[in-house]
Amino acid sequence: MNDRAESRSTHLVRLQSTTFNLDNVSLLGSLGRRVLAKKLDLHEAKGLIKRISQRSPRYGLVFAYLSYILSCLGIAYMFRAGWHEMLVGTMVATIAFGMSLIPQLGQAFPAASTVVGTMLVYMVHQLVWRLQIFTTIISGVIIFVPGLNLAMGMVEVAKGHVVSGTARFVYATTSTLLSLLSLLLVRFAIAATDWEHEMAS
Amino acid sequence: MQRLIGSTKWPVELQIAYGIILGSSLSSFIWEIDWTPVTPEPFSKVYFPLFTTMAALAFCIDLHVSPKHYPIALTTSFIGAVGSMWGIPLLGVNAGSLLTAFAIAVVSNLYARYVPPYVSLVGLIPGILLLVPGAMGIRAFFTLSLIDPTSGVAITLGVLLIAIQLAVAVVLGNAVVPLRGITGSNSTNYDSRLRVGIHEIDSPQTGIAALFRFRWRTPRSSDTLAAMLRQQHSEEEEEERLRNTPASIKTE
Repeated sequence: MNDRAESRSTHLVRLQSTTFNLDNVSLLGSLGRRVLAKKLDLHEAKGLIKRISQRSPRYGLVFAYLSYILSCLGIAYMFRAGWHEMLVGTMVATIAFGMSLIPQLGQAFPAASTVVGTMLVYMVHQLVWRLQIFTTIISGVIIFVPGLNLAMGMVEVAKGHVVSGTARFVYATTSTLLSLLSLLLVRFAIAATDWEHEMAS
Repeated sequence: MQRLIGSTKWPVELQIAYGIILGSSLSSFIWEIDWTPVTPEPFSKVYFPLFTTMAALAFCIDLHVSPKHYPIALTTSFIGAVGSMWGIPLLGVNAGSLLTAFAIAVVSNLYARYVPPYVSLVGLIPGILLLVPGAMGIRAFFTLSLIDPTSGVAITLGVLLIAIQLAVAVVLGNAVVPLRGITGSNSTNYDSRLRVGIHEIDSPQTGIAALFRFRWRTPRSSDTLAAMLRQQHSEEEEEERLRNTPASIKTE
């Protein structure tokens, strides 16, 4: 990651996950400046990078839950949803947050929580209020959606940070292509069911 | 079980698309789903600032933004929301995304030029988050798998196009307001690090305190780094001392 437009070198910081921790990014930016200004040697910088990556998150679980709910309400409003959709979306977000705490689900918790959330939305749609199904589900799980990698990869490549930008962009593109191939296979598998035509209508 | 499902990292868009498909499939076995379209009555535009602030705060927490950077993160999120709500419908997806992202990049770079630690990402990412077509990607997968492959591929290419627009906008923003060079950091006297106490480093919390963790105190990046460096030096000295200690004394 390099924040200088006129830099002659690329500095690669490999994040442990695809999520962005801007608190640590600020620290890393500050650290990089000191290394480039020769105010800090590489040995010290290496140790500090390790310490920065080991910092505990700035916000605890209560605030994490708050972010699920607030993002659901904000995005539902952007999608021009009604208050029924918002209410059910917050329920889906609560389920998603709860399931993200189950360690046995590993990396698959977005899929698991979307399945349960979708069934909840359909249940409310059938028994309580008629809802905009897709908007309600997406509002609830929007916090999982990592659309940022593709755009940030392109931004980095365009700014000249070829190494880090290419890595991010290729990862995002490969994920997208794999997803498309997998979905085409699923489409072949379910093509014969009537349910597909019901969904299409 | 964990080894089975946790060892492979699936793309999250795909997980969500599969989740919707599987959930819909299971629900259609249980209930006779009514598929007629629903048009909800949306909230008034008066509530726009309220819900935008909610979304921006959620992004700040999710992206671990330090409270001292909240003003710029909220500002750029608000610009992104205005562009998403009015700019894109008015100017079209391409021009709307481009102009909004350009405005966000300019504001972020202006902030990064004058406010330490001179990092523009703290403003840029919360701002363009509302323009990034993540939900559009899921809709593309959903359409591709269930409704019409041609439309799905078209939406996927649209996602790629918007990503390109955002990249172009950020590059244009950098051209109009260049980021600060390395000389900017010289104003900070780094030798002041010896005066910084060890308390500036994040102390581990457990139990209820960890649940409600919120680090209000936001020392300057230079102070935090200096404190970390000081701790690192003391640990290295301790290791060196132990290494030089004779084995006979260690066993005692």
